Amino acid sequence: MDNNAFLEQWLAAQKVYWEALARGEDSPPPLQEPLFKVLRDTLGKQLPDSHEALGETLERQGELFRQLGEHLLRDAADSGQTFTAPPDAEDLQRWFDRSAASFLGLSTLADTLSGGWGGPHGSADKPTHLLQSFQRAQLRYLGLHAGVLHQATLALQAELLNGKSGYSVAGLIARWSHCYESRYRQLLGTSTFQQAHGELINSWLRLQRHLHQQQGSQARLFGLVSQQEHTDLARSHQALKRELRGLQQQLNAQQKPTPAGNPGQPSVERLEREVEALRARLEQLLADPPPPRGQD
Amino acid sequence: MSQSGFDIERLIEELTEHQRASFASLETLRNLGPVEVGQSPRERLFQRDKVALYHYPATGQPSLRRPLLIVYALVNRPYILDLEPGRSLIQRLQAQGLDLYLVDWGYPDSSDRFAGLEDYLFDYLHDCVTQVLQHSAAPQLDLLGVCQGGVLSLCYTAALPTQINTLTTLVTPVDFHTPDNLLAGLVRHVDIELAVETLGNIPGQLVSQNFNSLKPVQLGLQKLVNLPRELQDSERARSYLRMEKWLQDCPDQAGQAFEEFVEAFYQDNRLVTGGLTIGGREIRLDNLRQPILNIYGSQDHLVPPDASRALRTLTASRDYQEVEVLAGHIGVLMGRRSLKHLPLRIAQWLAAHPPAGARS
Repeated sequence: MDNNAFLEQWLAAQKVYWEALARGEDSPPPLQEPLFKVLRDTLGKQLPDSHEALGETLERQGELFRQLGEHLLRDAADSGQTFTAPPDAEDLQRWFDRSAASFLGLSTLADTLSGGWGGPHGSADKPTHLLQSFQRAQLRYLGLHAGVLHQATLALQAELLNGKSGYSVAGLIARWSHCYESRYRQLLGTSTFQQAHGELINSWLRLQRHLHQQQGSQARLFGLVSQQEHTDLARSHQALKRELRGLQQQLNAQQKPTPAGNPGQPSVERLEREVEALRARLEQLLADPPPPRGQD
Repeated sequence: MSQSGFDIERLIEELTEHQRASFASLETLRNLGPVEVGQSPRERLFQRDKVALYHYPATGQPSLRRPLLIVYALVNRPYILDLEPGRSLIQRLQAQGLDLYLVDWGYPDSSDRFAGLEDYLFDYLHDCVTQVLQHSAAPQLDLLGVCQGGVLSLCYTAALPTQINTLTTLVTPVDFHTPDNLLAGLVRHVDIELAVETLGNIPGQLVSQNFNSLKPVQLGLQKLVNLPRELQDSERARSYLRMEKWLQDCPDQAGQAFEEFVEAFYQDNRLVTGGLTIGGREIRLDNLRQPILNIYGSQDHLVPPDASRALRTLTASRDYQEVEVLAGHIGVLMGRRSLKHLPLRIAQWLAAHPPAGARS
């Protein structure tokens, strides 16, 4: 059986399952494993390397969409009608929180930073005060996000109750996105959030710096080049580049060949260009004289 | 009568179609080779360290016969201006008879950790300006700065105005402290000196995450559930993949330059408050007397319109024009509507502003 035929057969079976869900029947799904996982066993391996990650994302979003749809169908089961009541916003919010967290990016900064140093049970070298400072900042940051989620839920609830048309799953996600982001934008503009965001990053940086210093000490102990020594080298490298560049510019100015091949004399062509540029600048200045300094 | 809940039949239909579309997208990906970007023919004129200068000759007539140097941002790659055939600002400008040059800042590595704004402006960019003038045998050039590249262009022109005939700024922030500049708000309390001391070069992924955090759900969940719609058709999928490639292709930022840029502009708003010195040169926007064309997007959430429009009151140019494009940040650079009108507008404006020596 080819993949298309398999898909159509699965969709037909899935439709029966979805209809049963809406009637409140507790029947098993047609496939115990997600469709795309089954398909990827054959199809996924044929994806070019450059698209493999996107293939996995497609698979995850397909599952996410199906799970939300099935969640709504289960909710609808109580009504026993072909048309359900508006979905419950708090229930949806819990679903978004639980199932879609990996896609939302809401707390990703806090999570990313936590992941960067292995969490609270990592190395024992972390000084307690730096760790506690980071954890306090993380709690404050996540608390502000939680407030936005709550406000977004209330807004979604109001929209669902006042809605005048039927919904689609995609439409519901778009509504939730709008409710969330409009509140989130307001939060972003507050100094409270900006300070919390700054403190989250700064406390993480202080922790990271401490770890780097520890690693540097250990590196020196074993006779290895430390990060600090790398940094010092890079600084010297840049200073030398600037110095070399200055010397090159001086040399170029002195050795620019003239048409007669006499180094040290600027070429007529270059002089012409400079005169032309100066003339243009002069005309601009004459047409538009600079304001006297001190009037600023 | 309308109803406000879910029609169960329609819900099941939507679930079915979404699964079918997701499957079709996988099929499309299976048959799609790697995508290419930046395909317009070009010649590399100059390369030093990571920085390269490219020439895109005019393809349309009549040619203006003067060089237009494009300065792109450090934080992203410049091929967004030549993303794909038919959606390329560079191609459209070439077709208007403009002779283009493009600065590509490249991908800084640890050896560039201490490259500062001084180096980017008065070494690399200045070298590019010199190379363009030599290649084109022109006494002056027109400068077009894009986003952060616009800020660099403003600083360069304010410090070394002689060889710049006109300045065009595209989606360029000038006042970084407008109330709607959320990006500036995010970095306002970040200790950038500590960040650079700790991380060295700033990872491009971190910069990209900061941009995305302004619209986390739209660019996260919502974008993902729209994936099947984007990927079913192979041509549309190619466009999508090119854009994704660009979005994820954020170079690491040279630590010193990043620190100086964030502190001077995002945190201290020096283009407005003054007191900006780079490499020993004082940078004052009231030194700008060149004709200026300032183009911004009315829906730009990264560089809000007011952040760009502030240039009007800060420059001493008496020939200042603004163009508002009904688009967001990226839409101004490569949106279909923008590409239809903007290149012609730029070309007409440049044609009306020949070098002072050529005016008669």
